[in-house]
Amino acid sequence: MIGTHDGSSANFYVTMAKSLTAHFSAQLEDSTTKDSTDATTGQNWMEYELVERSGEIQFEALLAVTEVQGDDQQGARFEKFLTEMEDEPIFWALVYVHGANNRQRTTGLCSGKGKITNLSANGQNRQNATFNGTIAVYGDITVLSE
Amino acid sequence: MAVKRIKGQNFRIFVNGKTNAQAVPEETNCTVNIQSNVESAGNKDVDGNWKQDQIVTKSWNVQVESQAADAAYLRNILNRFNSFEPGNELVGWDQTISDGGTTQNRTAVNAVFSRSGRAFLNDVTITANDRQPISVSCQYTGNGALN
Repeated sequence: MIGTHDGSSANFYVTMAKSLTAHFSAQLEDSTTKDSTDATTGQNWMEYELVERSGEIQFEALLAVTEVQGDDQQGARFEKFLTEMEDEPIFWALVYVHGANNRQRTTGLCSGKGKITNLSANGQNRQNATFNGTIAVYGDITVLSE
Repeated sequence: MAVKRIKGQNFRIFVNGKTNAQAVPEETNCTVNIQSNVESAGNKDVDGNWKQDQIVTKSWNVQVESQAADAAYLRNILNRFNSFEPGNELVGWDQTISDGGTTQNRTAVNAVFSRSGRAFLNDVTITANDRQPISVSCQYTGNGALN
């Protein structure tokens, strides 16, 4: 789910999503020193410190021009992502869903803010047009309890 | 005597202990990497032209993939990734024995090749494709010795 940069939460489902990948990583710095306590002669095990965490959410969806059951289904189509691709961060959330069109929230997984850093669309002859988006996580993430 | 080998499903990753509860649930694949970082120790006193290296440091990491059992499991992973005390997870590998489904193939046997050490959970990838099980891949980077 995503929100708008002037909103306060993620309340739009990616319309006709096909795939989703959320990738979170922590950058580590070598902090091994001569004082490392596990040292034996000539063989030191590496030790690290955390530098920075980052995240990226990538998805693919069909290029839709209408919603499944009208515009009140709170869907985010390609044009919404084009509009929200600004320097102001938007809200995002990863949620489990069920129900009609899989738009009923079962429980939340995590959420945060992010910036849309990449959008691409593809139209291959005779096949569904698709678009891909990348949201770079901006700041802390919150692991949701429900 | 015939050499006995084990199958991939009996080589598993354990996090924060070696009880059944600490086996990575619904694990599908794991890879263990241990590396020696070397530098040249060749000098003029050595005849011949073959390289001679010395081990300077050693490092290790574990990559484990699993199907996401439920939301609570994914939350647990994200909470550990988000921890304010990173680098302190106990991660290891061991052989397991199949026991007819009683403990879901999670009984560790303390095999001679089993090891564990403190590590950072430093990489998490969650994949959710339409109509397929949600999968999660975690990388742990060793923070100190393997024991």
